Amino acid sequence: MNEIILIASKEFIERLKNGWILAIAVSFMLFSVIISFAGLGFTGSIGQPDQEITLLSLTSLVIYLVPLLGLILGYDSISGEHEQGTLDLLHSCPISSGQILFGKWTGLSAVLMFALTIGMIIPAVIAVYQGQDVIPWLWFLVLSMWFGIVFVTLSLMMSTTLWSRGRLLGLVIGLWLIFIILFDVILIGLLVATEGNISNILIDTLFFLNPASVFRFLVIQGLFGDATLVQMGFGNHIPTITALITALILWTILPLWFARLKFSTGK
Amino acid sequence: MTDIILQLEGVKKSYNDRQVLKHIDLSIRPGELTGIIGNNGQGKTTLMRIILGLLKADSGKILIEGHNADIPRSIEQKRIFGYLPESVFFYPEMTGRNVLRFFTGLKKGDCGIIDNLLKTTGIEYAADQKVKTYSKGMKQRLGLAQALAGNPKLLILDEPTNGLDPAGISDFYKILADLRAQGIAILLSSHLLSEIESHLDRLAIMKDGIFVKQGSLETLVSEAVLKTSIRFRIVKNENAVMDRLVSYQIQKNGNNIFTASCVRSDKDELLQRLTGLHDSVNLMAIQDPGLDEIFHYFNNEH
Repeated sequence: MNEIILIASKEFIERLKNGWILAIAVSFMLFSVIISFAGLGFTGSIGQPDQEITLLSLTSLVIYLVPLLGLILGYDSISGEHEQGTLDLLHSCPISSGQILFGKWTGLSAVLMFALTIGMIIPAVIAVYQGQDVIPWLWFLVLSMWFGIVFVTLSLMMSTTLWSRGRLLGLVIGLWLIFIILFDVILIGLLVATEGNISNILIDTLFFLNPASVFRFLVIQGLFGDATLVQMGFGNHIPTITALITALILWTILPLWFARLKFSTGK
Repeated sequence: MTDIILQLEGVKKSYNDRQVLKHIDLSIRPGELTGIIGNNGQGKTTLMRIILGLLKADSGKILIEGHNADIPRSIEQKRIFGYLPESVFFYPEMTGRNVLRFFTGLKKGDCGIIDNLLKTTGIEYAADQKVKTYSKGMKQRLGLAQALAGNPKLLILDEPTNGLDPAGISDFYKILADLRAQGIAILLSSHLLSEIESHLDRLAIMKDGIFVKQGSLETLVSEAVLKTSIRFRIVKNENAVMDRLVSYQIQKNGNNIFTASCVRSDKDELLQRLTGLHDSVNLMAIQDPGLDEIFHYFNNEH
């Protein structure tokens, strides 16, 4: 256990010393403050909007920025050590590959949680001070962290392939484009092309294949309940919170499991 | 058997179609310094990585303290080793002290020995500087300190003196001598033959993935048909001297300076003849074959 904490602490300190994590956290904070207090700008009024609207606006910000942060945090964590020659030293220590991997995952996840806390703390504290309910904010923060950790895990998994950093960077940017930009476009394209005559099972499956969709639904259901989703046209195809949480658990565990399989010595 | 820390029997390894290790047998005992010498690309680093469990051998047997080596190595088996890779790198933003703290923690070593390790390896003065400011020699010293953290029984050092200046190399072997006195076995690779010659207990000459020869330096010297050279100056009676030495190979090196060569077994007889000619001859130097000659002899023989 101590070894995992040691590796996690090293990872945490090393990443925080690298200024860009803090820069992303501060940028996120600025965006979240702007969204929180000028979120109703388009309606002609400036001021603090309703909590639900604020959090819904922040959801889009989280969906765009947090996966990128998670992916960039993890993509070179193993391959980078391999390239600079420190991975052999780690493997020669009396610790298992699993401890190295889990230590890194813990440290990187902690950095992401720290950055998100910094990014959301100001609007959340002001909102709660002004009378908003603290629970939805906490729900949103925890879900955002978990959503980010899914992408940390995905990038860590890719990093165990020990490809070059340049190649992996291209891959994680590609993954971000697919999940965050292209996935919805493809889904809508599919619906338009088939004029809606498409199997519900296929739509549900595709839906769970994107952690961003799962996260978005979890936030909406947590904040508004099923009624809003019915209004939004999802009809009877609303996944339950249990199904969504299970999906997010699988999105966390499966890449970690694949990474563990891939990341071992003695090959 | 039980006093053997590490034993390899018939270890083989191929990358794609290239056989890097063809058949390796090796035994290492406590307090022994074994040197693997060979040109670059002969399989020295691959062998070390296989011993550590960083690579898997295709076939063969590896015994660690008499037990079959686990794949991957168990934590208990990893605890035996201290490793210094050929080009050692550390986290550039960490200080030397923090690097040691990190690796000592991973090896469950006593953090109280960190100051001692820094002192032993001579980088105490730079302990609180970031590793990115270290020279190559300082990194090698830090690498050795890291390898010693956790009290290993067998140190595996891949070209350990790369980047060290002559004083650093001398210090380095003094440290190794102290470690051997404590019973720590050392396996090191090098292609700088002259520097390791006087420190080795055993020598293994590696070529094309096999040990073409291994044993103590004395054994290898006696097995190799190598010549001893004796330099001398003829002060008078050159013809008479040459008549007495007619059965030896004589080479003229300069004005009245000659070198007589003979196989090691004939060295005493040649010396007797030369000392018997003390009125006409001044002895200048006797040169026995060194590691360089032994290496080239066995390396070229195969």
